[in-house]
Amino acid sequence: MNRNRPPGFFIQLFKWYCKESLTESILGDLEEQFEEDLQQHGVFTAKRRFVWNVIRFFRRGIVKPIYDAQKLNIYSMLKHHIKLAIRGFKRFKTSFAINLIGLSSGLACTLFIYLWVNDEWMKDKFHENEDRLYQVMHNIDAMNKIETIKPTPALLGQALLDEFPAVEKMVSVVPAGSYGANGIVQYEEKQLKTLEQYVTADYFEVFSFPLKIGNKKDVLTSKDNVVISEELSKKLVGEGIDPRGKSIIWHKDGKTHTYVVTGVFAALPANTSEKFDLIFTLDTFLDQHPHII
Amino acid sequence: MGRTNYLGEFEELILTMVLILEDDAYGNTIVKAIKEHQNREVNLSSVHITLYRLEEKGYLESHMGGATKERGGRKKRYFKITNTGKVLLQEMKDARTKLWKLAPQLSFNA
Repeated sequence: MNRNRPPGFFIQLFKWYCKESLTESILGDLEEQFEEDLQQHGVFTAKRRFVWNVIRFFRRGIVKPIYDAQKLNIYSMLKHHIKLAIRGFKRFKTSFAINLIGLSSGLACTLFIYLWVNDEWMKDKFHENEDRLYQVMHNIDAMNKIETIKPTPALLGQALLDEFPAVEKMVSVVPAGSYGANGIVQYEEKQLKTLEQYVTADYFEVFSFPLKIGNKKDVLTSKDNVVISEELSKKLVGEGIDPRGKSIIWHKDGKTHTYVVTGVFAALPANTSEKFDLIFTLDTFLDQHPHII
Repeated sequence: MGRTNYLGEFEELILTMVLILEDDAYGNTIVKAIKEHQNREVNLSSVHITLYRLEEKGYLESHMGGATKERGGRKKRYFKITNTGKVLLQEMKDARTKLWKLAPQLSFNA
């Protein structure tokens, strides 16, 4: 870099921001000034003054307009469209209102439908073996029409497991809330209204409801076992206390039984289709309802 | 005088300087002339801005020329006062003289 030339960066900067028609003459004046300063005051002062002048020239009338002609056209076209639209709205108020309401509610509906469908798709996706889980349903002949219902015979599960090699594991479930009124669980003095579900032993192995306390292989081995939710355990026994081995009393449909807590399951994910606070064994259900096979 | 014919103090100064410098009126010489005759430091950028504004108003005209080895070989933009500009300066001077005639005699001994 030549020491006796104005700083190149600032020449470029000036060329960049200055209107093209003015660049030549102003830059010439600046360089002339620089050469004069160079002789009278030395390099440092000359450069400093040059830089300062370039900065001082950054003002209205010198700086290029921000929009060049082409961009200006797009801008004015947009302005024109907006103006026409607003005039149209003022002139046709009713159809404007109808359009506005129609479009916005349509858009809102679409978004809500998307949210809903998305929610449906997310259902039960948290199960690890989700792609290998199937629910067996039951076709019945109802007045010459075939109706598909969820309840299946209690014996079906075991039969499928025994006779179909493709069936790896089987779980029979009496879903929460499907039988009778809500039960009441009691521990010492505390009583709580809860939702119970009856399942067979492999339940926690097939479905991914993680256990906080207890081993998923043997929590439901005996008829008097019960697995409770973390929240229920907190409410009944208290936080941080292992509820295993504690006896709880279960009141339902005028009957009372005592069960021993063997495990605690973690809070259920929001996208689960099965919601329950207590898990009993299917055998205890069958004992209480001997007419069901 | 209408709004468009109005000149500011600085604009008048620049216009007068262009008139004085005749054929050698461009940014740097104007700055120097003001320093010389009025002992006043003005910034090159303000001079340029004012020159272009006066040109736009039609009191000045400009042409490019005089490329030399100095100034990095760049051309100068020479300014010349137009007839409109001359008339305006004359009008302003007359108007001021008229006003001064109306004023009481200045006395500096009070």
